[in-house]
Amino acid sequence: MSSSTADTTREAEALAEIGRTCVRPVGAHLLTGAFLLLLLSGAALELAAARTGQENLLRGEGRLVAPSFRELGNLWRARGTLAVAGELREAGVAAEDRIQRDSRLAAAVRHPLQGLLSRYLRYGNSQVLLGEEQWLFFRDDFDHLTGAPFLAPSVVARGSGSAPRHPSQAPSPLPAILGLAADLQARGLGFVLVPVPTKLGIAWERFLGGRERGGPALANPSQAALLEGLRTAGVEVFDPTPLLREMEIRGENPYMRFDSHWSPAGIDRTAAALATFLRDRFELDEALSLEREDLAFERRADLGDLLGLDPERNPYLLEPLRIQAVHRPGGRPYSSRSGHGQVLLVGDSFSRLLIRNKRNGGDANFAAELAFHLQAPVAMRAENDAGDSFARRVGWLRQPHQLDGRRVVVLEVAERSFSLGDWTSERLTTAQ
Amino acid sequence: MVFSSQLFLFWFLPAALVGYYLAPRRLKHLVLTIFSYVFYGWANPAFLILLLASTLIDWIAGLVMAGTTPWSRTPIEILPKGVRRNRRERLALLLSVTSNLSLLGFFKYFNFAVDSWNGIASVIGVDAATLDIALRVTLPLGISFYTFQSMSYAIDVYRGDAKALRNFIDFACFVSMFPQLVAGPIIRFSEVADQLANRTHTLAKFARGVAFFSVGMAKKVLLANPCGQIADTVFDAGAPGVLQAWHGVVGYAFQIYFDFSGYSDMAIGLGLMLGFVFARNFDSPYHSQSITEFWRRWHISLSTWLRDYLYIPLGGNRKGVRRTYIHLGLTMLLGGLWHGASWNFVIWGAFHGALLAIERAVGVDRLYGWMPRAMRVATTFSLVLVSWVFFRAADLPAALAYLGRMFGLGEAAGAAPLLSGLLLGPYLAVSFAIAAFVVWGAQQSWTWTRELTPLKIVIALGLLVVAIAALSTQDYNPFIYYIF
Repeated sequence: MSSSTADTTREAEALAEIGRTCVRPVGAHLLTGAFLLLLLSGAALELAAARTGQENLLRGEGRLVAPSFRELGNLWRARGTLAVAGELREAGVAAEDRIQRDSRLAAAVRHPLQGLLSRYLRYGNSQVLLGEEQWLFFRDDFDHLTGAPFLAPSVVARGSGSAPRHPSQAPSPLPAILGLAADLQARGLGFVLVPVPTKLGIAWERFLGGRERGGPALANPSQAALLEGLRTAGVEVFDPTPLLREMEIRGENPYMRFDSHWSPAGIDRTAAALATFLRDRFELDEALSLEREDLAFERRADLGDLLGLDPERNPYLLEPLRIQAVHRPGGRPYSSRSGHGQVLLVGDSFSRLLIRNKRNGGDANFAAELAFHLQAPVAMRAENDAGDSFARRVGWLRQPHQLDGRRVVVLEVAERSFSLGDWTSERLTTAQ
Repeated sequence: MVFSSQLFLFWFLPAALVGYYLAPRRLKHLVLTIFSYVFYGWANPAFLILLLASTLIDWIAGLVMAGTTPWSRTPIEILPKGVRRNRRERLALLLSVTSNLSLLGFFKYFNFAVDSWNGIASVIGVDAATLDIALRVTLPLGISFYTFQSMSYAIDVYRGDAKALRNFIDFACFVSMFPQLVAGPIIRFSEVADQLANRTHTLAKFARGVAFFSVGMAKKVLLANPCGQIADTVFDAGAPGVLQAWHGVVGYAFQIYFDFSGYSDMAIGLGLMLGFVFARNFDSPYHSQSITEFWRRWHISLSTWLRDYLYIPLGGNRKGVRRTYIHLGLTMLLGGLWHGASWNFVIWGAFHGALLAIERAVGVDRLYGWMPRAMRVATTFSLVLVSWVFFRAADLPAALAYLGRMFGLGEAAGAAPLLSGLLLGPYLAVSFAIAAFVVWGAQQSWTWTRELTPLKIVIALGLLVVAIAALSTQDYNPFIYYIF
C-alpha cells in the first residue's frame, strides 16, 4: 500500500539505506543488550541504594517528590490551569536538576572524571580555570577581564539592573558610586573606594604558563576610565593594583594558589598602604593598641572546592597559610565585627576572609589588619554572597545608627563586580 | 528534557522503550503519543495545549478535505492530483495554514514585532507611536518544527500526496513523536505515512539505532559542548584579536554542526529503535564546494520543506529570471526568520539568499571552477563562517563588531592573551582538533553505522559511556535548535 506519491526520494533512500545495515546477530544482540543495560543502570543504582537504606533520589529526606493530585486539585480550584502547569513545570525542572546533580551514577563518575580532566588536560569546569603549577583561577575573573568594556554605552544600555550575571547586562557602576559618595559627603563623611583587582589580572603569568613575565596588571578596558572618572569627580580611590602586581612580580604571592582571594601577605600590604592613605586624608583620632601573632592556618580554598573533586582526594582543597592574627594587649582576640570605629569598612568576601572564631584567636581579615596598621578600631560590614549588590550595601548604611560616630566609609569591592555585579543605583535617602 | 540528560537517558527512555514494546500493536501509537506528551510537557505543561490545538486543527482539516468523519467506515481515498479543489477543501487548507502560521506568528514573532515597531518609531522620532505593551510572549519549545510538520500533513493531503488519517491517535503520534518533536528533523507526513500504517521492528534496526544514538550523543557532549565553550568565550570577549575571532567563529561552526547533526543522529537512532526510518538531515555540509551545495547538505529537512512548500508554490524558477531571484530571496529570508525572531536571522537568511542568487546568476562552475577542490571547500566554509557570525552574535551591532574583529578592525584588548591561554589549553585545543578531523576526515554517521563490525560496536558503546560520563562534569547544555 502506498498513500504517498510525492517526492519520496529521501524517505526511499533512507529506507534503502537502513535495509543495507550489516551487523551480525551476535553483534546486534551485544550492542542492544549493552545499551539497554546501560539505560537501566541509572534506575538500578538508585533502587539498590534505596534497598540498602541509603538516602538517595528515591529514599530519605532528599528524595524526589512530585506534587500530589490533591495539591494540584486545590491549586487548580484556587488559581486555575496555568498555575497547575506552572507548579508541574517547576517540579519537573527541579527533578531534572536533582537527577543530573545528585544521582548515584553522576556522583560515582563526576569526581574521578573531573580528577582526570584537571590532572591530565589542565581543565577545570564552568567556574574554575586551571593555570600552571596547580594555580586555580575564577572563571568570573576571566569573563570580567576579557569581556566587553563595562562602561561602553552599548553594554550599559543593555543593563537590566536585576542581578545580571553577564558582562553585557551590567549597568554602569559610575553613577551608583558617585551617588553614594555625594550622599556621604552631604552627611560630612569621607568616602574611599578600594577596588580589589582580580587574581587573574595580577597573576596572569601563572595562567598563561610563564612564557611572558613582567608588565602591568591586566584589567577590563573600562577599569582605568572608571577610576579616572571617579577621581575627576572628587571621589577618593585607593587602588592596590600596582602594589599587588609589584608583589607578584617579586614572587611574594599576593593571592592564594587554590583560592580566588588575596593571600594574608596581600591583605597585610594593602591594609598597611590603605592605613597610610586614610591617615593622610582624614582626621582619625581614635586609638587602640593592637598586636599581631604569626600563626599557621589551613583554609578550605573556594576554587579548590568549586572544582568538584572528591574531597578525600582533592589536592586543591586546603591552602596552607601563615596569618597575622590581631589581638588586643594581653592576648584578647580582636574582632572586626564589633561595629565600633570611625572607619567603617563595607565589603565583600575580600574583607571577610580570615575572620576567625574566638577559640582560634583574633581576626586576620582585611578590617583587622587595617585596624592594626591604623592602631584604631575599624568597624566592618561585609557579606560573602551577594556582596556585589550595591543596593544591598547602601541598605546596610541606611540602617539606624550605622553611620553614627563615623568619619569615613571605605567601600571595598572586587574589581570583577564592575562588570558582573548589580550596580543599580540606590541613594541614602533615609536620615541617619 | 534534553536527550543528553540523565533524566532522559536513565528514566524516560527506558520507560518509553519498555512501554512501547510491551504495548500491543494497536496501542503502540497511543503509548508513544503519551510518552511524547510527557516529554514535551516536561519543559512547560501549559504548551501542551498548543501542541494539541495544532494537532487537532490539522487532523480536522484533513478529514474535511477527505470529506469524511472520524466515525465513518468508508475507506479514505487520496485526493486526485491535478484537479481543482472545491471550496470545502480550500477552506480546510486555509484553516490549517492560517492557524499554524498564526500560532507561530504570535508565539515566535510577537515580541520581535513590538520591539521592531518601537525601535523604528523611536529612530524616526515618533515616540507617540510606540506601543506600550507589557506582554512578553514565551516561545514554546519546538513550535517552529511541529507547526511546519503538522501543516505539511494538510498540504500533502490537499495536493493529493497523502491520504488523510481517520485515527486521531495515529496523527497525534506523527506530530508529537518525541525523537524529533522539538528540534527536528522535520518529518513530512507523506514521508512517514506508510510507516505509520506499517513498519517493522528488527534487531538490526534497533542496533543501528543504538549506533546512531551513540554517535549523536558523542557529537553533542564530546565535541559540540567544548566547541561551544570556545565560541562563547570569544563571542563574549570585548576585543578579541583577528586569529581569536576566527578561532571563535570556527568553534561556533563546529558547535552548531555537531550540536544539530548530533541531535538529528540521536533522533534518527531513537526513531529506528521505535521502528521508524527518518531521512538524513545532514550530509557533511562543510565539505560543500558552493553555497548551493551547502544548502543541499545542511538541515536538509528544512531546506527541502522550504523548497517544496514555499519556493515551488511561489513559482520557483518557472516564472522568469527576475521572479526566480525574488522567490529565492523570499524563501531564504523566511528561512532565516524561521530560525529566530531577530534581525540577525533576517540578515543571515538574506546573506545566504544573495549568495545563492549570485551563484545562480554567474554559475557555480564559473565562480569556483578555476579553484582546486580544497580551495572551493575553504571558500565556501569561509562564507558560511561569515554568516554564522549573524547567527551567533547577541544582536546586530555585536555581529558587525565581531566581523570587524575578524577582518582586523580595532585593536585587541590588553587581556586578549588570556583568551589564547584558555582557547589553546589542552582540553579545548584537543577537542577543537578532533572536531576538525571529524568534520573533514571522518565518515558521516549514515556511512559509519552501515556496517557494524565488532570494533565499531565497541567504539559505539565506548563513545556512549564516555559521553554519559562527561555529562556528569558539564553544566546544563540544551541543544541550540531547542530555541528555534
